[in-house]
Parts: sequence; C-alpha cells; structure tokens
Amino acid sequence: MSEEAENIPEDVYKIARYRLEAMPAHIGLMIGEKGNYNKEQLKEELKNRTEVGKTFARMQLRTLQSFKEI
Amino acid sequence: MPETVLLTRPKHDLTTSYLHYWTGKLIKEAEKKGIEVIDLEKEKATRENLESYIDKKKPEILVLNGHGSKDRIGGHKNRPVLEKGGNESKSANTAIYARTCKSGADLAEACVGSGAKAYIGYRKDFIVPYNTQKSTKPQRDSLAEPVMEASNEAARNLIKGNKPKKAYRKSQEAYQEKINKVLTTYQLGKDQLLAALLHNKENQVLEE
Repeated sequence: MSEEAENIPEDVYKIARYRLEAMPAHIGLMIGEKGNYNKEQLKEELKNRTEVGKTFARMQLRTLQSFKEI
Repeated sequence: MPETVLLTRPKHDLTTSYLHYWTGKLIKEAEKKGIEVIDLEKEKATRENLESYIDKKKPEILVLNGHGSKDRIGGHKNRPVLEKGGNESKSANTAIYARTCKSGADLAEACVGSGAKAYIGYRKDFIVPYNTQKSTKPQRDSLAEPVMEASNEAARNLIKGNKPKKAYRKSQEAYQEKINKVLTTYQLGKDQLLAALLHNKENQVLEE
C-alpha cells in the first residue's frame, strides 16, 4: 500500500500534536511546493488531516522510530 | 573536474529564496576552481534557457533547484524546466543533482533512461525547518543551515569531479553528521531539525 493511501493511526496524530505543542513559536517548516507553515498553521493542517498534516505526522513517527536504531 | 556547471535557482517564494542563497555558495566555490558556471537565477530559470545553454555549452553537471513533483522540476514561478515526457533527453551525458521535491521518483528514471549519467534527487517532499524571525535573511538562519549544507554536499562533490556514487555517499554522510550533532547538542527547534534531516536523508536517492 502506498504511503499516501495508508491510514495514519490516531495515536500518531496525538504524538505529532504533542511534539508540535513543544515546538518553539518562531519555528516553521518549508514543505516543498506545499508552502511554508508556522506553528499555528501546522496545528490547523494536523487537525484537518491535510497532506501537510499527514507529512508532519509521519515525520514525527519516523523520528521517534529512529531512536530505536541509535 | 567538470569544465562547465549549469545551475537553476529561481527565487519567487520563501523556499526558493533559501535555495537561491545556499546555491550561491556552490557557485562561488565552482568559480574559485575555474569552472565555467551558468547561473540561471530568478526569472532566467526557464526551460528555454536550460535547453539553450545545454545545447551551446554542454555542461557536465546540472544543479537544479526549485519546486518539483514526481515527473518535473519547476523554475521561475514554478514553470517546468525539465520534465518527463517533455525534454528529459536534454539531460543526456550530464550528472544531475535535483534539490526539489519528489523528482527522484519518475523524472530520475526518465533522465537516466534518456542518457543522463546519474540523477541524485529526492523521492518525497524536500523539507526545511526555518526560523520565522530570520526568513528574510536565509544566511542568518542557523536552523535551516544544517539541512541546506548537507544537501549542498551532493552538488559540491559533483562539482569537485567526484563520481555520482561518491557525491551521493558524501551527502548521506553529511546528513548523518548533522543528525549526530543535533542529537548531542542543544539547539532551539532541534526536534524538527532532526525530523527534517532524517526525512531528507532517507528520501535522497541516486539513480544511475
């Protein structure tokens, strides 16, 4: 199943939300053609489960998974 | 070492302004080595200019910056400069570094299939964390720097004359070095810097 089609579990969104809350207010992310997002905008994207929100959620999960590999 | 390097660096939004600045460093390095640099910056980053300069100057290396998708790279105002099913044959006999989203998927294969020596790119979105308070001055954005420097390594090594496999490896090593540094030092915003470094490292691909 492609990553785009894969459902992201709610727990992952929850983790992503917590990590976003901890992010300093002056940090943003440039996500290619999708544009640049500040913290508040990322919160909306995550809440609305948009493609940007999904990308952000997957990034957080992968980061946490990588700690197991260290 | 290559004789001629062609770079595209549009500058029409925040992301491309960062790419524009960080590619400028590569241009200075190439010029110091006596390499002829074709700098298609800002509104000069067009398909017509890319094709014309490739035909005239036959650059060995293409460093293409901009927004992209699986099958194209955008230039000024995101108009395609290189695309699958369009002008990928123009990339024949070149080694390409594409700092764009997703073109490492289909466009990479199309270019190599049309005779490009190699294509280093990204198969998903290229993500850069940034300091919103420094965004008008990318050179002062220490949050973006590690991502941009690690991604610069691929182009830097091609410009030095290294084989694409080595350029790819050097960039991967640079990403890992930056990841290790983030893990062991304090930096505001390090969580998202780490996430972006890891994401870009894992999605960087080499097609030969």
